[in-house]
Amino acid sequence: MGQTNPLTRWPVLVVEDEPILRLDALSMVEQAGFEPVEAMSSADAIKLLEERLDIRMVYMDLDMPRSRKGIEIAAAIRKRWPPIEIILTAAYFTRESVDLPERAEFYSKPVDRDEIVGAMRRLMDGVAYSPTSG
Amino acid sequence: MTVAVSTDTPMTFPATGGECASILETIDWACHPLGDPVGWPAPLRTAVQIVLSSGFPMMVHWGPELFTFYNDAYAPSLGHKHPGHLGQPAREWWSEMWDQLTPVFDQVLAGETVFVKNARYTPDRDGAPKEAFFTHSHSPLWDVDGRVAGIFLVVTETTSEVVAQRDRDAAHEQQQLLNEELAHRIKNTMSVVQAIAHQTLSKIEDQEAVTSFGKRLATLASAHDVLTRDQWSTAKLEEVAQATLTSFGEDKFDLAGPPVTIGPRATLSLSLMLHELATNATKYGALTKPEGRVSLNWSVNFDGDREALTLSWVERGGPPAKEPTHKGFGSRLIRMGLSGSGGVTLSYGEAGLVVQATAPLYQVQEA
Repeated sequence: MGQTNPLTRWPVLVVEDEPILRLDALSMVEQAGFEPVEAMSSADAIKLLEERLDIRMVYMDLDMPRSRKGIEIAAAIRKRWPPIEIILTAAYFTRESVDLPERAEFYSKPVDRDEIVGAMRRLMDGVAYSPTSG
Repeated sequence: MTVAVSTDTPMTFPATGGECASILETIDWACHPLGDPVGWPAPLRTAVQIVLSSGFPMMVHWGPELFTFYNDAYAPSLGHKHPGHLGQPAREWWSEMWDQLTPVFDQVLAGETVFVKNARYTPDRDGAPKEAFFTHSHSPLWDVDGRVAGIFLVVTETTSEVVAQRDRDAAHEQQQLLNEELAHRIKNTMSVVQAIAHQTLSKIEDQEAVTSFGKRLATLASAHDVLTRDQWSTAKLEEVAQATLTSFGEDKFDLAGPPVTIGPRATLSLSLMLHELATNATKYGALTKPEGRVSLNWSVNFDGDREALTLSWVERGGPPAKEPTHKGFGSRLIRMGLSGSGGVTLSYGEAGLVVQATAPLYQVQEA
């Protein structure tokens, strides 16, 4: 599908259990020019990724206490869906304290919105022209 | 303590030996393998006399059976074993921790001294094995022929100190955990505040102000991070500067200065000040050019009779610096300086902006 059309609004999955932060993250995805898809937990996220094979990026909060360790989920996503870009955020962890999956980017909370929007566009720029198909 | 020396009867155990000496007097030595104390080898007699008359917990083991003698100071740490085993072989005495003790005894009998601090043992006390800690020195006792025939032990029980230290460590760890948890919650709350602000103000025209707010909040959060490392008491100036400036491009800044720790208030004002300076440099100053750089130097010098911290921000490689016509909150944050009360000079030179901030060190280090 989309690689011939650079205007495709690729779906970006937002995984955040704090409602207000999820709302704000959804608006960041829109601001970056993509279609937000929301998940309230990591279990939700895995289910959505299994169903929506067109998802090309995940923006995830590592602090979600009611689920498996966020960083392990991120590693699992990288392993199972290697082309998916990953942006991680956390209040509890620092960039130095987590073992980031390959190509994943980390931003400390509270995040700099411009930085996140910029990172989303930058990472998806490669995706839009990549030969892999959804 | 008075020393009563009896001259008319041969002294077996010293009169200053207290309860332990009295108990030893009641033993029927004629039926004991060591025989009558009058006939004991002189080193054994002397050692037992030293032990009995000392105020420090001490013990002697003698002969292949390691017959055991100790004093009143030692007795309390034995629990119910006292006094039944006075004069008995050590093996019966300490059957429950014989495995722990034999390596020590073997070394001493081979002529070495064994000194151990806060060693953990599980002596039988009041019928149950209990964890206890001892600092002890086991040293050889030589018989008249020069062979090692016994063991001399000076010991002090350190259980209460060890347990107290352990409790302190656990409390400290617990406090650290609580601190981290609290820091996490504060940062999460800051994120929510930022999201609410952004959503609430999404329709207003001056989106730059909303962005500035978000970035200042993020700066505050990174200052919190640095402070959390040392339980909110102090932070290292260099770490504060790095945490604030890193998002502007690490390779753009040259940081140099001696190790200086600063207090929580100075950490917050310094972070916000550096953030504003770096934001301005990115918008109007040295960092608008790819070759532009900023040097951040600090030093501690004597200003009269007190120490003062001086920090300088020097921009190079950018356009000439121009004094802003409008002075907003950002300018005020910069002018607050290191301790929040000024001491800042700004020079708008051809080569770029130079900012010098000075404050008494004690103010910067205040809580």
